[in-house]
Amino acid sequence: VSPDETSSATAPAAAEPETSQYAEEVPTTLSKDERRAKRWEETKTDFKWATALLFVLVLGLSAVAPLADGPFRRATTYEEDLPGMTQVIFSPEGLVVPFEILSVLLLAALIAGIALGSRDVGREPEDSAWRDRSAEANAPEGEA
Amino acid sequence: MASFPEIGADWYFVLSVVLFGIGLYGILTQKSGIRILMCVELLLNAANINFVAFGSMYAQDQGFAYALFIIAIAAAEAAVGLAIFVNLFRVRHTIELDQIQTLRW
Repeated sequence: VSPDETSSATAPAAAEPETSQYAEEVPTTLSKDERRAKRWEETKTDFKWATALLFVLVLGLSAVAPLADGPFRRATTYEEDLPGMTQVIFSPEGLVVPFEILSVLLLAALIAGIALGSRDVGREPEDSAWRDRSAEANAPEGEA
Repeated sequence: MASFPEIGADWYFVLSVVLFGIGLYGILTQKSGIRILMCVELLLNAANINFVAFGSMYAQDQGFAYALFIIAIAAAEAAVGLAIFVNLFRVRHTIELDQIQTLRW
């Protein structure tokens, strides 16, 4: 008997891999067809065909449009003018006020992102009364 | 060195329309919040391409300036949106927007 066989015979049964509570919901190994089917199931059925038709129409129109004669037919483009752009943004009669407002907006988004990310909500949702109320409010009709 | 043919402004509009169509299709059909957020970004990028293409076509610098503004707004929107979805997943364990029927947590 080789040492390997002895150790395998006396070793306890291999521990089952830890599975999270979401293991069934999010399987990690899916074949290509299963992934495609899952993605199709995740698509809203109400709009599926209508939007697919719209998408095909838009693609078709966009493919045909350049062939038609019009003002955009082979319109030439110009190099960007960086000094001119800075003049547009930073001159008092330009966009300097929206530029400053945008900086405040970005700062607000930064603070909001940090505040939302550091909130302690949902750490123990089962113990929270508001969690129960929210579950009742979101339950399908007849189950609440 | 081979010279590439110049790409006319019309093809930029085609690219913009295609991007807009993909984004619209995603917004209307998808349930996942992250996917919808990505599709909103596609819509904003389609608008961006239009701004730059028209600005370049008419040699107007406002188009480039507006594109910079849209990029900044898209960044702010993505930051807040992702933070909201992170919180949503903590609370509801899902980010499928069909299952989120109330704004109160």
